[in-house]
Amino acid sequence: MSKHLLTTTLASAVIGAALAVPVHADVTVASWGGAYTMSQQKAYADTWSEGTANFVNYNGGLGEVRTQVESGNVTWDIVDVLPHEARVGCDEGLFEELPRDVFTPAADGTSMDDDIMVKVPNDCVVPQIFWSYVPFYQKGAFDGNAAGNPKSIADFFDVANFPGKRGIHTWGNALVEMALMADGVAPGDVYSVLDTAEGMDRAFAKLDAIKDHAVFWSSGAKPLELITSGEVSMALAYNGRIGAAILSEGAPFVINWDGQVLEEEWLAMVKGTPNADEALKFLIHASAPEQQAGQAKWITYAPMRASGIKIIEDGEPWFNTGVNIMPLMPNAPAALSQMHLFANPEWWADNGDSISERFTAWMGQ
Amino acid sequence: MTNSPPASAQPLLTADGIPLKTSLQRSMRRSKWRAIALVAPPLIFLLGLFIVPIGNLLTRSTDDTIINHQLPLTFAMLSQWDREQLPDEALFEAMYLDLASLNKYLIADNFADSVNADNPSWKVQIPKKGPYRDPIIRIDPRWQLAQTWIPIYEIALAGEDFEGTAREKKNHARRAHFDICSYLTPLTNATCSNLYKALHRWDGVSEPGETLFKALYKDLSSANKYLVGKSSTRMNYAKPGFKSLIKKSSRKLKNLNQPPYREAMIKADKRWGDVAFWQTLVSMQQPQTTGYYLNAVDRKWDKDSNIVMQPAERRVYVMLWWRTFLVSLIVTVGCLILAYPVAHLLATLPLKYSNILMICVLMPFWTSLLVRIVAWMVMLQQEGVVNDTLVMLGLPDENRLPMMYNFTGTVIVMIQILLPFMILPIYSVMKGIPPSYMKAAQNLGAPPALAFLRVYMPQTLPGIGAGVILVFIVAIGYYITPELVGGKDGRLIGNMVAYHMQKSLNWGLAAAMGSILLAGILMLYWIYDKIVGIDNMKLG
Repeated sequence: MSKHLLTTTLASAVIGAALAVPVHADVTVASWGGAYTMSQQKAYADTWSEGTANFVNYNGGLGEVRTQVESGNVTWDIVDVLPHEARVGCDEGLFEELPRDVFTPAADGTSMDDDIMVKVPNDCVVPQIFWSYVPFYQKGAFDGNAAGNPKSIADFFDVANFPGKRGIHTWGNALVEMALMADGVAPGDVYSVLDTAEGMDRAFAKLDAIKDHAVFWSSGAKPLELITSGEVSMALAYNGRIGAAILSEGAPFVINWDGQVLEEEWLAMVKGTPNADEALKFLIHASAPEQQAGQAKWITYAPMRASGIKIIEDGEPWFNTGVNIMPLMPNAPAALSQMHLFANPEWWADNGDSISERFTAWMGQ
Repeated sequence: MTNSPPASAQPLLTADGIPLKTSLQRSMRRSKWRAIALVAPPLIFLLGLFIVPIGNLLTRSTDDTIINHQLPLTFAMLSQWDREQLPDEALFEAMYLDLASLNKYLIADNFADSVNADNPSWKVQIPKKGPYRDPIIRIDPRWQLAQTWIPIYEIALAGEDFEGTAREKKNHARRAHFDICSYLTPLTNATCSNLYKALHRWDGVSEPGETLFKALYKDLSSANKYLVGKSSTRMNYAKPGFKSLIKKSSRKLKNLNQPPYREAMIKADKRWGDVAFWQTLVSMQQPQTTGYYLNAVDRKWDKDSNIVMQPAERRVYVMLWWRTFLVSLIVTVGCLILAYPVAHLLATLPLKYSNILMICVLMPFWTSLLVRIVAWMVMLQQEGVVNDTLVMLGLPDENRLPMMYNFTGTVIVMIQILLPFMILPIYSVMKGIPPSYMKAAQNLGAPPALAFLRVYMPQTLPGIGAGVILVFIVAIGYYITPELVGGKDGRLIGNMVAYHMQKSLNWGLAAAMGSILLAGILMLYWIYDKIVGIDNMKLG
């Protein structure tokens, strides 16, 4: 009996070991989950013929990547990172440096790096999307208001003329920039003003104007709930969340592009991954203009490549439900014709910690 | 055999002729081993997942070696500087050499110990286009010996020593690239691929030639880049702006090849002319630092090694420590007040009712934390159930109570979540108190209140103690609930630890805060032991 058991165990172990040998390697991509990962799955993974991409969810930050790389036990191949992590990860050697000439140029021959609408920070990253912090309100919320509907970022900070509470996030990014733009600083001067102590005080003084009217959120779905329930009259949110609510639920939200702060999102390859070849193939595929544009069929975050946004513009109605998507793209010509700012991650790398401390202190006062 | 029985006494024998003592010892030993084997899994678990990480955490909170590896020359020169005026050319030159040329710490053994102004080797510059051999040997002569190269030669050879598919072979070789670099540098994530190739072309005996030196230079240079990246992050903790200063400078200064460096560096970035940047370097000079602990209580070292407060607008941690303590205290007291009557009811009701009540207590305990938090959001938010009810009862619409996304919200939700931790230990102690005691007290003339105070309550103290300690310790490290419902003034120190672990990657500061938290809890435990006595604690 026990001998029989032993044989079966051995046999199954051998078969198991044989099955465990991969036929072709999968690529593991760590991303943010939800609708965002779904859009990557549809646009990148489902259209990729050279292999299989599996997505795992993570919570941002480089803690996990650092642990994997430093221990030499790398289980993620590609990670979807914010601008700050894109730089730190490359500086500290947590990402692989990639050859730049293998990536797909735009249709007119512009190389990928020149096609990206911001300066590429290093050789480790390939473009993913632009997303932005943007103010919005519910249609009808300001009916009967003497000053009418809010239109500019200055109106967001003006609770006297545009009554109601404001939904803002619990960290300083975009808020200090918006405060200065609302206070009359030209977008191009925002960071040089913030570099001075008086400029920083000026930003926080402007934030004081809405502090007693602020409801703070920390998860991306929250501002939509706050607006829908009427708890706040205006809120800042990630543009993709607002877009998704408008497109899929027909939510009556109005976006004010004036004063939006655009942020980058990059893909990077984890250093020392055993699937480097496949991961590079995936990155080449995912960063091509067609795939970049294709992602916007599923979510209203925008391609970083100018040729990608062009494809969408020419292909309208672009969204999978057959509606126009350009009005919801943060880097569409119409949105960029208004006051806006591309966040400066280098500046945030220097000042992020001190602002985070100051902002936390400010919230708690 | 030291205390063997006197020779006259006949040793007691077992049936098979072995002395009873030996036989006993043998069987005792066997059961002792069995006992060890039984506790081994939790012991290993504890050691691996508790003791080791905590030790690691403690070392991280004081470790400052990376910066000392990166700026050996600067720190050696720093002691000769008066810390008031902008440094002179010598210090600028040291900084230039530390940043822009290959860090000599990587090439020279014990380099940091031997650095001083009189040692000529520190000024040796390795030309970017070679030759590499002579300058490297001038910095550290041991590189000319074949035996210095043997350890990495062996690592390189082992990289090819693998049976498997082509793909597995390639990955095995790739790991050897990392291994060579982790042998040569303090980094585990640098790749020495040039050395790997060059070492394979070497025979392991002949005198190391230019090819090897070139590979050494190239690989160490790229490892050096990561060191610069890491140390600039560290320097930015001490003074915002250092990160971009170092990053820009190490790029721009590459093309600067001869002195004087002072003017050239200030021209490359005017911040080098700001004496405040130089002064913050003083606080990083030691390989072990207390800086993270100071930062965790809003203090820092100044240029004269005095402890001073952080600038007013950056002071946040002391406030958060107090808030965390206050929230934990309120939550503990709140839980106690709510839990005591419930536990009493549970312990005294007839079984069929108390079972139902017990399910009511345990049901939320088994429900997902997030579900409960979201339920509270629905209840307590401005347009939520509670406020709507109050408005219906006549509260003016504009006076809706702010009960969510603030301090109040955090306290309410945490009390509800932690309540079972208080109810269960108190209940289990109450269950063991015979009802006859109270009856006896009343029979002897005590009014119910007195009987309760003098007879019943003292007996429940062990349960109260257990519940209080349990709830307080869990509350003080809480982080998910405050993150979701804390809003503007309900976020606790745990949220800052998470922020520094995940977002800012300042693991040193996170470790320091974690260590302070741990020390605080141990201290509370000690105080509790002194006042109540830990033996009196009963969990059931």
